[in-house]
Amino acid sequence: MSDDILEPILSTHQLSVRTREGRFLLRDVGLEIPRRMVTGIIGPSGAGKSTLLKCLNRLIDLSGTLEVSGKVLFEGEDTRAKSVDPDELRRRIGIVFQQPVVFPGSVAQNVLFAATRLGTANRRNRDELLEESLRQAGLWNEVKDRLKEMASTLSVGQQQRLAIARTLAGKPDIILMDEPTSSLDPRSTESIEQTIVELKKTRTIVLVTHHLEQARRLCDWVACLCQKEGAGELMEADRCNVVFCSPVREETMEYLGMKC
Amino acid sequence: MRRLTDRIFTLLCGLGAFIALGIILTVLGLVVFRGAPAISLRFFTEQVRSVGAEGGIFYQLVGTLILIATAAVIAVPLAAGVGIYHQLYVHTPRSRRAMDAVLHALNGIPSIVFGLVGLAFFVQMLGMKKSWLAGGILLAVMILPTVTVAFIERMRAIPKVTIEAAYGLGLRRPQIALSILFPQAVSGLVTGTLLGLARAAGETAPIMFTAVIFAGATMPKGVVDSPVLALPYHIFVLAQDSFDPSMTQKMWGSAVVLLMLVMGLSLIALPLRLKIHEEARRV
Amino acid sequence: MRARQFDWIRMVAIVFSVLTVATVCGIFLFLLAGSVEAWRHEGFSFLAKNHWAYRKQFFEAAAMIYGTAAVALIAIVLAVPIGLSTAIFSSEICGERSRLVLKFLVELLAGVPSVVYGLLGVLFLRNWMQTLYEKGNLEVYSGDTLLTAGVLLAIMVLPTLSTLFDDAFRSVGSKYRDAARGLGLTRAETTFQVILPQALPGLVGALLLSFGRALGETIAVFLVVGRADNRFPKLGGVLHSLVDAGQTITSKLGGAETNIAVGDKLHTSALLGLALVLFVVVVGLTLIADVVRSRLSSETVA
Repeated sequence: MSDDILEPILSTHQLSVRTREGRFLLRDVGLEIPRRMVTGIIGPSGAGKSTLLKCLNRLIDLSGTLEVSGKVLFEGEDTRAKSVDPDELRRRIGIVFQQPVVFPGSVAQNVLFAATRLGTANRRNRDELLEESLRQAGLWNEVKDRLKEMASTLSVGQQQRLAIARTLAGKPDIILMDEPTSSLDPRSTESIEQTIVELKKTRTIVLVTHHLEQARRLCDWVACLCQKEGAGELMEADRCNVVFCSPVREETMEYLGMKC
Repeated sequence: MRRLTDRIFTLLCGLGAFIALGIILTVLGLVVFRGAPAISLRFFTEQVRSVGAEGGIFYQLVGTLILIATAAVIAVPLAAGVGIYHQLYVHTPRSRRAMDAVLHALNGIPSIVFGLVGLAFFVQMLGMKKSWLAGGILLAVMILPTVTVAFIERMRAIPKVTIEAAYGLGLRRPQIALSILFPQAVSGLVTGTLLGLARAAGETAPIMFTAVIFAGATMPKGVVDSPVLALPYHIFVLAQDSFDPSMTQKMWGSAVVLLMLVMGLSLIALPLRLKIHEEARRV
Repeated sequence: MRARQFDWIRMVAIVFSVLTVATVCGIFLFLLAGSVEAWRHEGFSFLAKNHWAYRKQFFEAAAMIYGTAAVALIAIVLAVPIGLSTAIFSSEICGERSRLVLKFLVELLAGVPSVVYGLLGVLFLRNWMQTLYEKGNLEVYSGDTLLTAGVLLAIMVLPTLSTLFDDAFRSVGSKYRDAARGLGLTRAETTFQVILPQALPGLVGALLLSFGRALGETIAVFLVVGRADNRFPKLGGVLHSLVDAGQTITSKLGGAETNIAVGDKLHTSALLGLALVLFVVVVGLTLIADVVRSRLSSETVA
């Protein structure tokens, strides 16, 4: 294995998130995300998994009242440095939410929504990019004849895959996913899980999920976040089967119900 | 005993509502009833003759339209800018509340204060004499809060996840403003403008010292020293000298026309407002 | 990853917002600066004493302050019972469809321009009030009195008051109603003991806001208040002053003196001083109403 793969693509150092009143949402989280693998973040609700995810691409900045301290390094660079452009950061670290978000417009317009505006798509590669993104999201065959139809006519499962395609069109290095299949039926869930397995060959995925089975199926690396004294703290992070079969921390064991 | 109290309660409230309804219908009824006979096509298209006793109100209507059109042209971009700033660039709830306070303060300023300040500023200090532009500016400032708040409210109705997703894709703020906020909130801007103009059309106080005269003006020539006529001011002057019966019908006619203009503007906004209400509920 | 690009929309938005804030502050400072001369000339008597005669350079405005307050108070006292009962009726008693119809009609009335109200006042109300006065054996010169202006103002303020009251009641979540009625409380008991206390900030805010509007109304008041200066009653004569002609700040500012004052520095300054008083009081009430109403939305979650 070359050094390239050993160096984590994303890492956090003593990352803490506090409200104005002093309540901690996350405390001293030090996490390393290995590249081209699926890293799962598991833990009970309220532990701050979504908050952690939003710190990784600085989406946390949108909430004006939270204070973030500590470091998040992307390819070794501090993401919160003054010289960093958060919008460009977010193109390279894409995100998919639990509820599929559909912008007004056609399927094609949705997929290329950011790509056209950010310059990733131009007149020459437009159609190519559209097809490629939809194929990678596992949606191409279902919508190839419906590209001009309104995106809102798609089913919920299709809309979520559309959201993934839209993120892919920006050619990100990392894709963050916040419980992407929680709102979906089993068939769509299966389809997206397949997509994730395909994607990790070329990209890094960080997956927040409360489906332990899903985590076991998909993840190479797992981090467990639990609440300690009101704030989310990282209990442990290791290879998937290590965490699931022989966890070190008591809190992890408690959360997993110790099934192996 | 409790039942009795409840009955009396319901009765009293119904009575109050009945009185309110009665007042509403009386007011509207009186105006429409008295004014309708005066309306004819000639009323709209002719000029005033014999100092208001004869003829129509053509130039009063024109003047009012010029004033509110000017107000719209000035207020809409300002409202759009303030609204975008409020939603996209202000991050703490406290700053947003401060902006809201400024808008509410502006909205609360009595219209006569605008008129007086306008007189002292535009006419005296700047030496503009009476001008339609001064009137338009004052009206624009007066309706700015109405337009802005309607715009902001519509933007707030856009689901947060949609905005987050746009940021998450890496879109920059101007792009988010142009590709998501504006297109989806334009209906709020339009509604606010229509409601603001409905109010501006009926205002007398801001324009009576700065932009309008009672008689003698037709179309404005230029910007400085070019007053216009206006419906509300016309009615106001006539009302002060109301003992001449031949004037009365003209007054009522003018009042009905003004009312139609104001109501018309509000009513156009109605289907839009209902649609916004529906969309907000669906989300 | 290079730093952010230049954001022209932000630039424009900031400029416009600053312009807006500057306008509000500018108006205030303009009034302040413009009225300094009058304050210096009169001192505290500007507000406290009663003698307004611009030709003799007397600018004591107590009578106008009294008139303004009297007219607005009459309006509120008359409008609140009707507005409150209408709001309770529309939000607690009648069905959804009737409520929308009622709301629509009330909003219609809210849009009527003040000059039209003034017209109604001049051609109808004034005469009706005069008949009323004569029936009550009161000696009046005409129907133009403080009371008449107050009644007209009450009609004008009623729709606003009623709508805001209704909003306040509506903002109390239906779960409270359901819980109370579910316990067996009657409608009256639910309204007074459960809904009203929670809607109170909204109601008070509505009151303050409407009071501010009443204070600032010019055109309609101008036409029916009589425009008689220096009518400041002694303690026992308050009721009598109401059926007598009077003057408010707004009716003074909307009148001939404003045009006469052009060119006369002291006179203009005095008028700006009146406007300043109006501005401070009305905007102050508006902002207080804002603060009060924000308590409403933070405490009750609909």
